[in-house]
Amino acid sequence: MFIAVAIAAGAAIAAASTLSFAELYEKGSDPSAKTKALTGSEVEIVGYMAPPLKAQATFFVLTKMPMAVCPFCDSTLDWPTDIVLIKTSSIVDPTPFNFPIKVVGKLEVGFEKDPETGFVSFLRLTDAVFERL
Amino acid sequence: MVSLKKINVEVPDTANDRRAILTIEDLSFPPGELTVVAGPSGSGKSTLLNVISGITPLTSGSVTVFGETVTDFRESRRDAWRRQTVGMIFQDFNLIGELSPLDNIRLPESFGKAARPAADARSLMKRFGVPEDRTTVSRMSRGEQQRVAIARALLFDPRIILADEPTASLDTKNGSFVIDSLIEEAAKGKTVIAVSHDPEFAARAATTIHLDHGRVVRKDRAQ
Amino acid sequence: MNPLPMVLSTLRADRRLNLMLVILVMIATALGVAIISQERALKQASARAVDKFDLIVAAPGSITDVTLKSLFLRPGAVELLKPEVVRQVVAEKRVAFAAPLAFGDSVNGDPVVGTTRDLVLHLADGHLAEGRGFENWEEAVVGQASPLKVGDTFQTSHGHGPEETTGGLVHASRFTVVGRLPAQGSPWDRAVIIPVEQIWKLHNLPTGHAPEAGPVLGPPFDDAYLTGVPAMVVKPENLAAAYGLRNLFRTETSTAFFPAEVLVGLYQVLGDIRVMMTALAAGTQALVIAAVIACVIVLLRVHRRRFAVLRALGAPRAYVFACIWLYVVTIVATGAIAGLILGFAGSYLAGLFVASQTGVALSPSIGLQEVSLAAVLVATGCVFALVPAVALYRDRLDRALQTIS
Repeated sequence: MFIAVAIAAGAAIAAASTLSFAELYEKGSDPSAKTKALTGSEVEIVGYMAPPLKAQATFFVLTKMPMAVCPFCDSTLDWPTDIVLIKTSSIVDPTPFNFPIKVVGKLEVGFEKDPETGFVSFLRLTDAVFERL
Repeated sequence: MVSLKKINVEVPDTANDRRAILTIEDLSFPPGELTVVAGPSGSGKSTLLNVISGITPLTSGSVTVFGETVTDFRESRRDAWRRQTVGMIFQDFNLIGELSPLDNIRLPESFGKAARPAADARSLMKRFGVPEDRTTVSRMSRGEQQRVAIARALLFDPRIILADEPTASLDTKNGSFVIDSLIEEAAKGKTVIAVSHDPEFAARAATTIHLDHGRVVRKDRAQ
Repeated sequence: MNPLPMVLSTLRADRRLNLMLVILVMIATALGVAIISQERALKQASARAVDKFDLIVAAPGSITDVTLKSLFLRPGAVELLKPEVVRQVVAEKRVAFAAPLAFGDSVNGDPVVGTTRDLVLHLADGHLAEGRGFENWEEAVVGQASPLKVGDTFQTSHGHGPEETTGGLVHASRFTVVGRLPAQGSPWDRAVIIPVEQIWKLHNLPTGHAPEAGPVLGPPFDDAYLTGVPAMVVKPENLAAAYGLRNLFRTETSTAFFPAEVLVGLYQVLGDIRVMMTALAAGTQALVIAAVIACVIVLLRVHRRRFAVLRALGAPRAYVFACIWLYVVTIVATGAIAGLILGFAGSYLAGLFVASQTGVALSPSIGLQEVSLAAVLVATGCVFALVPAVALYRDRLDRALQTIS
C-alpha cells in the first residue's frame, strides 16, 4: 500500500510543471499568465508549511517564507500573495515550519469558501501530496 | 495375482553399512485366497506388507499387481492406486478418534479427485454391525473400532486387502469376526494377506508363509 | 481434495493446547490493535475537542498550559492577559468574534466559564440542544453532560472542588439554567457557562461596562472598564487573518496560537510512544508466532503416525501438507480475528477511562492500519506454517508408521 502511494506520488511529481511563489501573481494581486495557464493541471510548488490551524486536518497553508520571517505581518489583504492553501487527501502529518517542502497538486484559482472550516481561499492545490526537501 | 520378484530391502545399519531386512526371490499371492504371514518379530512381516502397498521403497526388485508393475509408478499414481486397489487394516485400527464412524469410513473420499467410493458407507456399517449413533469412534469398544476400520478398508472395493495383526488386540469373539470377514472377502475373489500370530488365523488360511530374518523359510498349503 | 475434516479433527484432538495457541495469537494481536486504535482515537477526539477554538490569545507563557486550562478546563491559575491587550483584541476588525474566557469558579466541582453569547452560539453551531442562550447576568447555559437541568438555579463557588471551598467562599449571586449546549466531546460538556460580566462582578472587577449602563451583556464592551482575562477565543474572519492575528499578538505582552499547534506537539510524543509500544507489540507477535510454530512441530511429532496412516490409506503428500498448513493457519487466523475484536474492546475500555478522567469523548474505531497489522500477522503465520507442513510432507512413510501413537 505504501509503495503504491509512493509510486503514485512519484508519478505525480514527474508529470507536474513547476511554479514558484514569485511567478504566482503579476501587478500586485492578479494571478499571472502562467498561473492562469496552469489552472486545472498538476503543479509543483516549493515553500514552507505554516503552523497547523487544525489538528487532524486535510489541509495546510503553504508560505513563501518560513513562518518565523512573518509572511502575514504586513498584509491586511483578504488573500496575501505569499500563501497557497493545500488540500490533501489524507490527514496531514505536520512538518516543522522552518523546513522547505515540495508540494504537488491540482492548481485551483478563484475565491472559494471551504464548507467545513468556513475559511475563504484564493489559490489552492487540491489532492496534493508533499515531501520534505 | 500379486507377484514379488527379486525383492531386496536394505536399511542403513552402522555408519557406512547397510543391512538387508527383506530378501525375496519370487513370491506370489493368488486372488480368492487368504494368505497368512507368520514369523518372529523383526522377521520382516510388516515390511512385506509395506512393500506390496508401495509404502516401503525397494533397494531392488519389482512388485507386479494384476499385470501392473507398481514399483514403476510415480508417487502420485501410486497413492491413487493404493487408495483404489489396496485396503489396509491395522492392529490398533488407526482411526481418527475425533471423527464419527461414518466420517472415518468415508475419510479416504476426501483424499483426492475421482475418489468415488465403490461401496456405500452406510451399508458397510450395517454389514459389519457398526453402531450408527456414536458421535466419535474414540467412544467405541475395540471390537467396534476394528469393524469401522474394516469398513473403511472396503470403501473402494479394493482387489487386495492387507491386514497387519488385525486380531492381536481383540478378544476371541471379535477376532473370529475379523477372520470371518476377511475369509468372506477372499471368497469374493480378493487377494487377502494378513500378518498374524493367531493360530486360528493360520488354521483357516489357504496358505501360511513363514518368514525369518527377512527370508521365506516355509510355505504351508492347507489341504 | 478436502482436508477440512482432518483439519477440524486435528484442532479437536488437542483442543486445550490449540485454544491456548489461539489465545496467545489473540493477545499479541489485540495489543498492537489497541495501541494503534487508541492513538488514533486520542488524536481524533482531542482534535474534535479543540475544533471550535481557532485562535487563542493569552498572557505570555506555556501555550500547553493555557490549552489545558482554558480549553480542557483543567483547574489551576493562569496569568491574566493585560486589559490593554484585551482592548486591542476586542477592537480587531478581521474577526468574526473575540470572546473572553474567565474561569476558576465551580458548581459542585464542575467548571464555571464566563464568556459571551457569541462563543455560546458558536459552540452550539447556532442551535442550542435545549432552551436558549443567556440574556441577562443571572442566566446560565450548561454543557450536554451537566447534571443541572434547564430551570434549575445554583450558586457558584470560588475555586474547584470541596477542598477549595472549605472557607465557605460561595458567591452570592444565584443563576438560572436557561439552555443546554449540544455535545462537544470535550470537558465543556460538564461546564456551566455564565456571562463573563457576572464573573468580573463577583470578583469585584470592572464589568466591561460603565456602571451607569446597568447590567448589559457585551460585546460591545466599554474600553474604559475592560479588565484582564485568562484567555481570549478568537474566530478569525479568514485564513489570512488567522495567521496574521497569530503573528500580531505574539508580542512581549501576549501570546497567540492555534490549539492545533499544541496538539500536534502532543501527537509527536504520542507517536513516539506508539512507535515504541508497537515495536514491543511486534516483538510479542514474532515471539508468539515462533511459539505457535514450535508447539505445532512438537504436537505433530506426536501425530506423525496419524498422518502416515492417511498416506497408507492412499492420501497424497499434498493432502497431508494441506492439512497441516491449514491447521496452523486456522489457529493464527482465528487468533488474529479474535485479537482485532479484543483489541477494539480494549481500546473502547481505555477510551471510557480517558473520557471519565478528562471529559474528552473518545470513539475508538478499527481502521485499515489495525486490519493490516492482523493481516501481516496472518501472512507471517501462513509462511511459517510451511515449516511443519514441509516437515511432514517429507516424512518417511514406513518409519512414521512404525512410531507409536
